[in-house]
Amino acid sequence: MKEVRIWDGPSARSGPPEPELTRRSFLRTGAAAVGGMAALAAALSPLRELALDQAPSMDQFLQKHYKEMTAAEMEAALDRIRKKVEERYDVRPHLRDIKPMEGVEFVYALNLSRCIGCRKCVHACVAENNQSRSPEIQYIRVIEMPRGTLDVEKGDHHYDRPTVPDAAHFYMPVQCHQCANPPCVKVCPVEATWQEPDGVTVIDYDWCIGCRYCEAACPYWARRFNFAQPKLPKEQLNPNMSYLSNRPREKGVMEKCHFCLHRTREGRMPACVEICPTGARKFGNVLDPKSEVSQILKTKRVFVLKEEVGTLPRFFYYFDERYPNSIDPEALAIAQKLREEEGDRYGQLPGAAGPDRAMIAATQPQWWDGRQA
Amino acid sequence: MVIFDQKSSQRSQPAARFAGWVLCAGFVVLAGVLFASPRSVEIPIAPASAVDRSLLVVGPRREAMKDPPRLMVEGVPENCNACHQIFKSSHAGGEAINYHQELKLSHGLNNRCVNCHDAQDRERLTLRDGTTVSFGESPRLCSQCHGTVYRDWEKGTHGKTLGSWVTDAQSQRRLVCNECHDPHSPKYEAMKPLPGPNTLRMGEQALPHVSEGKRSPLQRWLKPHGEGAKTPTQHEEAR
Repeated sequence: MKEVRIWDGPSARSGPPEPELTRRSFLRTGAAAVGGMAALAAALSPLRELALDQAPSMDQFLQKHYKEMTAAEMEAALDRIRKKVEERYDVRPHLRDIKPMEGVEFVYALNLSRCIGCRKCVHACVAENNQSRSPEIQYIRVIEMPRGTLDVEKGDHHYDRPTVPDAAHFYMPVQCHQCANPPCVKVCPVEATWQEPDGVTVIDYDWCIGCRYCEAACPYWARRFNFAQPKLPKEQLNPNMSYLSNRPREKGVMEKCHFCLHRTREGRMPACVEICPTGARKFGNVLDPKSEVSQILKTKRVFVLKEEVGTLPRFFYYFDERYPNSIDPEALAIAQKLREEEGDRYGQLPGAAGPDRAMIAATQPQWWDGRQA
Repeated sequence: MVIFDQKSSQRSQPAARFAGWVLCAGFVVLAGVLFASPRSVEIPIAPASAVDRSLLVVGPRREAMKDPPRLMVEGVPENCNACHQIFKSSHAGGEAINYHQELKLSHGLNNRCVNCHDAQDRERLTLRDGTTVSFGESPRLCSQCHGTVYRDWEKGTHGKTLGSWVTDAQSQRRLVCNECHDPHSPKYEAMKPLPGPNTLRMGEQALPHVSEGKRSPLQRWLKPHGEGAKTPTQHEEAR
């Protein structure tokens, strides 16, 4: 009977004979090994750039996602970050994790009729939020657009003029719109970014893997990536920080505007609203009917950028109607004529030449008509 | 389906072996080059550009006249009537002679002092109907001509609010008209914008065509070293 063998064990003798180690096979194997090792070394060579002090500690490596951390774990994480910030910037930060307020949904409104394009918001934001100064990261982009169009393709955010505003342009600042239907959240493969109950889309900088999908998904160019190790002079660090907002970021993570949540969740205004010299920026709780933003949505001509993409932004642009200062052209013509007759006598007292007839004619046409009749 | 041709495979074997050797040698050379190259690709990054903090002061744009109104006269704060009860304050020619020279009056047709200031009591403002209000109530005065803006300001859709976004919070303060607008010249003056963005994402660095080849390994050999060590950056070229 023929032997049926299922497995040729090491003890099997009928297998092929062990190849002899010849000079040729030695050289061949050796060269292959050297080549392979060299290739491996070449592939691993970027690791040489990994400085040991930048490498994450074991605790940081094992840190859980923001939403999965218990209070104690969060405190430990905060402590670790505090220590790191202190090491790097010689400042003990006031770092905490601030939760959203109940019954609050933040909304932002921006008056395009009032914005003069001075870029103060851009730099106030940078001072507040500890962005990298070099390479430069800014959350707000002020686009100078020719009047008569809303096509951002025609805009320019590198405008450099001796003075603003320019008569032929208007200015449209763009930052994170905190969408109610955020595409950036949908594309994140690791759920490192999500929408909070108060409407702010936040990022867990320790969970982000830096794939930049969100940057590509955002129709408002709102997300910024730390391509290089962020640089921030020690004396410019803002020590008032929270976990989800302005704590210092690392290389390779995404960041963006978060409505200054370390301020706004404590009732304060965002930095860009506070600095705006014209009051073009408005911020508040849309669930409060008395708030300024609710009034704007109710009474002003409001629009959102790229409405057609369906992101439902919480950032609204609005216009003022032209304010007629109650002077109708006919009354103004009469007033100007009177002014010419009288000349510009600034300090004129009523006793000297009677009341200022030009002003009255301009602002109270009925009065003037009565006098004439 | 291609049938395996033993003859041709035998013929191609030396060629394949040669290719294998070349590949091995290539890897060895590559590894050597990578190890010999500088420790990291050094990307020049511009020094931190900071905007002067004095340009970023939060608060009202200008200081409004408060109650009681005072003016610095020879370095001493004086109330209005201290002078105006003694000196005749207006002239047929219309110009102020000693004080208030700094005032630039550019308020359209409204170019008479006593249209807003009370002729008898200079520490009060006069309304159209002859009643007077204090300087602190100046929005009432403005509202006589600028009614639509005033309504917007009351609702909070015009003007600036400081302190808190919480409605009716203690710290919330809505600035009044003359904390932003100069009542004598209400139009905003054009201002110098702060510096624009530098969108080079790795920071400021040499332009590709004038670079020393740090970003392109091939250029390292194509161009001699040392030449043009100080290359103009994009920022400098733009100037």
